[in-house]
Amino acid sequence: MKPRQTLNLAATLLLGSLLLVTALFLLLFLIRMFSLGGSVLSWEFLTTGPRNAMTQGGILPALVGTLLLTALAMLVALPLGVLTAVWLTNYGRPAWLVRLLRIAINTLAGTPSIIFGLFGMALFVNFLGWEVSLLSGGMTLAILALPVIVNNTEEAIRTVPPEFRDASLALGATTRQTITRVILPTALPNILTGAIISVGRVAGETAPIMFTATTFFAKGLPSGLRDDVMALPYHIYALMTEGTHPAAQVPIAYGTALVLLLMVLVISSVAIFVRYSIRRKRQW
Amino acid sequence: MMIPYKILELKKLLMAEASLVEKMVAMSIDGLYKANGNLMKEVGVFETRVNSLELEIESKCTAAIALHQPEARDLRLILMIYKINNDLERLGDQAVNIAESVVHLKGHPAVSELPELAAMKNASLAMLGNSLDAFAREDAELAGKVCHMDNTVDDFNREIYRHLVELLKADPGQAADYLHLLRIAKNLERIGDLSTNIAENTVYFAEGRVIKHHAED
Amino acid sequence: MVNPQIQAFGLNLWFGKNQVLNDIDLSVHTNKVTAMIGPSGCGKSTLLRCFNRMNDLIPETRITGKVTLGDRDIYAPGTDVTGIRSQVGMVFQKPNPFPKSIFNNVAYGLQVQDAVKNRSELADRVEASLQAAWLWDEVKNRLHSSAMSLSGGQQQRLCMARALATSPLVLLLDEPTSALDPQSTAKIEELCLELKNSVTILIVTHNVAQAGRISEYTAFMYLGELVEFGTTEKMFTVPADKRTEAYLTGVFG
Repeated sequence: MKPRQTLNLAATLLLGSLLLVTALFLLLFLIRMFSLGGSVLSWEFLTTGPRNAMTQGGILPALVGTLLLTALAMLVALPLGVLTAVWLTNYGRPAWLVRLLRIAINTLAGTPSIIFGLFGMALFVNFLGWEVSLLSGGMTLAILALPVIVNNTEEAIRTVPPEFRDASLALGATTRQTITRVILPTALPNILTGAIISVGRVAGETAPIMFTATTFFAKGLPSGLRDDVMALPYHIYALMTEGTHPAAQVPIAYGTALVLLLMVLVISSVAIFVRYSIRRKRQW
Repeated sequence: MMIPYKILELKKLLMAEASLVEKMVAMSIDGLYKANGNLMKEVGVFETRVNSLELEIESKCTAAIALHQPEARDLRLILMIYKINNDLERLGDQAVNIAESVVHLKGHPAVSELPELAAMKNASLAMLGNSLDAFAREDAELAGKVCHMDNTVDDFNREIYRHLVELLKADPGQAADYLHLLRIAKNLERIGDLSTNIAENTVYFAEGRVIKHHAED
Repeated sequence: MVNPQIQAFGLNLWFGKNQVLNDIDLSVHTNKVTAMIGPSGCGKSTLLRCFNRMNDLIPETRITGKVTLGDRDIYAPGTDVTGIRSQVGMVFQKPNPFPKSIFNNVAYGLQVQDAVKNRSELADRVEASLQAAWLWDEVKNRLHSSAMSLSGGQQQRLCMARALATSPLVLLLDEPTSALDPQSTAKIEELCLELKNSVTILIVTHNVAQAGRISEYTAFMYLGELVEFGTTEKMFTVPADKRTEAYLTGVFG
């Protein structure tokens, strides 16, 4: 065999084995989690609240809390993020403002999540007086998600071929009409993919919600925006660090982790599926 | 695309010019046998029309080549129309020359001493008519026949020359008339040559064969 | 008989510090096909785009001079640019139908101008435009399928139908056949000859033979200047300017 082909084979094998290693890690991870927390998984686990000082029962309030926090965060971040991206790509004037915005967005994107938590606490909980609540937590998570959505939407808009914009304007459409009738519909699948991925991330954040939304134990499900909530990631943290009966509570923590993990996996799969079906339909 | 339409237009114009020229030649030569007081005037009117057609056809051929880059058959046709257009204009000139000589011969019946002239006139007119028909019908065979007839006309020309020499020696007083008759014969011979040109061009256009400068084909 | 539909007077254009169009005076005659030819970079596409103010989209563009559509100066302050653009249609070099249905592509111009109130009138106008672009028979049974499923030549005819839907006075074509195969090219050329009876056509082409085939008037541009303008027949047989002759005989370009 010629040296070129030997090298090719070696590279292929190396990359293949690295892939296997990565997959193996994931597999081991899942197996370990299952072994530690699989025992508590049941329908009851998902549909009832904790009982008996968190040693029994389920995680329904935490599940609901996470869903509500995520929903609120996306409800705020998605429109705001998309509009910001639209402004940046289509109107962006004056130049200094654009630059300023980009610096702000990129800084936010790189900020550690604990700082979001502190910021949320300072602004929403204390200054605005919203207290530790769904509202404060949701808003904090929204700020966390914002830079990712802006960047992703901007990227999605930039992949729309400029010929579409030219054609639309040449037909007598205004910029606004071009955006709403051509650019956004074309970019929508990609925007959604990014949004879905953000959802996965937001659902799993602990630090931002620690000081702004969560409580160790809530009596029932939240009844309003000003209520504090339980949340899946925080529940794990709380059980592992402040749990009084580790023997019963550690498995529950791992079980909760599995639920959270599966939720993220499902969301990612949906995103991948959406992207796949778009790519198949797309003809340019 | 556009080119078939342009070619059709050119061909029509050329045929119009051809029919005018045919009439001119017949008209002028008939003046020898049938008195026509208005001959020069009538021939002059035709000549004006033929000249203006010649210019129009030339310009349209140039435009067709510049704008459409014709190929193959289209190219041969346009180029041959251009050439035949030229020949037709010269044919018109021959007709005018004949008419001028006819006018000089008015009232002098010298032509009756030259029976061969009638035969030559018929042959030349036939050549002209056939060559134009051959082009209109894109008939290479008929065109070929026209080329063969050229020898006949040349023979008539030589015969008329010899006869006229005798007549001149016999009656020098009629020299002017005899010389005009000689000129008319020369014009008729020229008409034969030009018709041969047209026939050769027709063969090139219709079949892509070049037959000029060859003896027979 | 000069009957100009669209005219430029003393038009100059700069991209930043770079002057791209130099003192252009051009009259485009109504219901005729006018071609713009010239070597790459001579400014013909830029000039074309002045007629529907598409150059406005390029940053740092500066224009002096006047461009009139009929008797309106389209660069006058306060002019409704979208109105101009629905009266001056454009077809681009690369076919660019929207990723929508065939119907919605053609209807787009009418919908953004809110020009047609009821659906059946809209459908009629879409059909009329597709007929005018010689595409109706090929797509009448699949108006709601994606425009992207059409071939390149069909897509370009769709773009023409789309531009024609707003009944523009002028149609600007920017090298519309350079991305197409010879048959599609021939079809579009014949289409132009048909369309000129209802709309003035201005076509930029780098193919001199194409200009010869379809245009009655030709403008030759070189280095941002309008070197010569006249009937195509005259320019192609006896050009007035030595530079025009050099270009046509292939000395450069």
